Amino acid sequence: MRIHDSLIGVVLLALAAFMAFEAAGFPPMPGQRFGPSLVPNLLAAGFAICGLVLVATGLRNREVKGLVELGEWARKGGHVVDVGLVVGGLALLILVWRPVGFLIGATLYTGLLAARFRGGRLPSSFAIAFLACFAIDWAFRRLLLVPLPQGPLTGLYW
Amino acid sequence: MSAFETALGLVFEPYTLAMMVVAGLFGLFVGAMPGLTATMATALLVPVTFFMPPVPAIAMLVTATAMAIFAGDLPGALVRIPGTPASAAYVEDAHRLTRKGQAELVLGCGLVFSVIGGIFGSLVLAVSAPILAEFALGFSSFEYFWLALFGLSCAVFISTGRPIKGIVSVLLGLTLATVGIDPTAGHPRFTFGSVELTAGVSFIPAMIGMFAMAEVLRWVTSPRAIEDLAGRQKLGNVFEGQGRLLRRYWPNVLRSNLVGTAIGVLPGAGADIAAWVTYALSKRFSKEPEKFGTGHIEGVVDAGTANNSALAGAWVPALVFGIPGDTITAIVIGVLFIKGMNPGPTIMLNNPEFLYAIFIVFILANLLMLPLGWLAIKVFRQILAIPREFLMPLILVCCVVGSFAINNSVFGVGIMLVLGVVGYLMEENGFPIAPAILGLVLGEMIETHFMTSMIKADGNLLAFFERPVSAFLGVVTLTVWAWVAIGAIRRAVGPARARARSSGTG
Repeated sequence: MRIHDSLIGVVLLALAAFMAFEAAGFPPMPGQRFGPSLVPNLLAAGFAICGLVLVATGLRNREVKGLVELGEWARKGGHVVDVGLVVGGLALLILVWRPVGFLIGATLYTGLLAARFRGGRLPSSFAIAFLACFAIDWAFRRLLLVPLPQGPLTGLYW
Repeated sequence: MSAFETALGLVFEPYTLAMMVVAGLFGLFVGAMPGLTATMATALLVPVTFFMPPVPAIAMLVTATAMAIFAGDLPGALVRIPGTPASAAYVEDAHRLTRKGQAELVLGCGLVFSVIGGIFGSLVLAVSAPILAEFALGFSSFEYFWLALFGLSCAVFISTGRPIKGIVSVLLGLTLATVGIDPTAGHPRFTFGSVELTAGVSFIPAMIGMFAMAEVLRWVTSPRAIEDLAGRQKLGNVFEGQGRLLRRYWPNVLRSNLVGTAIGVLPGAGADIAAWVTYALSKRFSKEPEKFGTGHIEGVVDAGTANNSALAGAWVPALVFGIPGDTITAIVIGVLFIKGMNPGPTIMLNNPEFLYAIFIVFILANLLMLPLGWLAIKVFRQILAIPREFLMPLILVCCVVGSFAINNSVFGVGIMLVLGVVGYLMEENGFPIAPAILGLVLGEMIETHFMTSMIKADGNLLAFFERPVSAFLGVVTLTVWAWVAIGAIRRAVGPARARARSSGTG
């Protein structure tokens, strides 16, 4: 997804304004003319300069049409669904991470994505996804001592 | 019995050697897994080392990190996801070489030159640790500030494409680093009332998101782009052609060893900066600078050597002064305290045998890298033989688990997801990702030293140039920025002048 330089420049200018606004509320250090706002303000100034440069170069570049140019993939409905599944599925996995647990959540997520990318073949996709997630769960839980959540399976394995 | 002989006995105990092999395999696994870092390998090993005597414990950490830094080259070359930040500098060249069908050469190069760099760094650590540490001890916040800024400048300088986009990327990383408690005054910034944000944005989920998650998104949106990659390539003798590379690039190897070790010695500047700086130097002094970023082995040789030599160098200030040379040695210092090997000048007086044991372990770990690294290359191919349709969802799951593991918090997974999407959009629009990561890693250090220096100088900026080393580093850094700025202005003004000339004549 190509975004026009001018639009990126405007976003950077807005970010700079936001940072400067927020930094204005930071208290100064006692006995000093500066404080926690100094570095954010310097960064905001940097963003503002870069934003202006990008707006200027973007306006000069007349070859690019439109503020946002979707890639070839976006014209194929399937790829849009793929991106939605990857990002949306991950967001959902974060939400249900604790109650559902790693093994169930990750198996469903991986299996669904694998089935989608392979154009079906649900049983084999989910079987391999389960084995892989089981191995990852075992390695992290037993070898690396990372307490991955087990959800409803708590106490049933390992 | 001398301290050195005692150290030899401690290291060559079967238990220590066995632990080194186990740690080596573990380090290779973590480094080779996209998104998992050498720092993470070290952090995850700490609970295991609680139950061990000092020497095997330290041997495990040294071996695991050395292997992980090398193994970071594997996913970098084969799926364009650097396993560790130290491999990020040359990931483009390594990956493009693989695309050209030279996976054997680039993987062998990563292995052989990692070993060379590691052994060189270890020898320097053993021979000149006190002298180099004494030099670094003379540094103040002014020098640290310039040094870190120089590292960032290199990140912008070497990034391909327009410098303005590299600068935006660095600024983004530095901005992310300002989130959380301010290091000087302790005031929360940009936390929006979130308790988790007060701890700041952890760079490990950020790196996993920007490098690994973004790579998966790129594959999803353009599967053909990496369809015909290394997985199906023949991986025969990876050592073939390495002698030729060494003969051709020996001055580069020597330079990278020296620069890498020196950077490693300087506190705060570890393997990542060593790789960036030596890659930039390699490009600067190369006879074929135009080939960098297009799949040229020279930068891989240089930076691949330097990141492993820096690893040993980073232990110098950590051992002798208790100042971490990088994130890995920051963890190691904690382990040394737990084991009663209090880092600092007294370690030389009280525990010389432990110190010698660490030097020996470093040499041994790097020698062990040859057989274990060869094995990792062979096994990694099997991972790549997994169809992309399975590999990509599994990489995503590894990203999730890796982001979770660093703090046992799902908040890290959220950071990974958000920055993964941001990273994808950045790359799509020509903004390099690596400067953002470096900005995030170095942000707090730069701010701490900048603010400390400002307080010392009472706001007088000229004080940043009053000390000789500080002045030198400052002038070098500003020269790099001026060079980049002049180049950008020339590129912007050149076409406009040409248009004006052509319209004048037409």
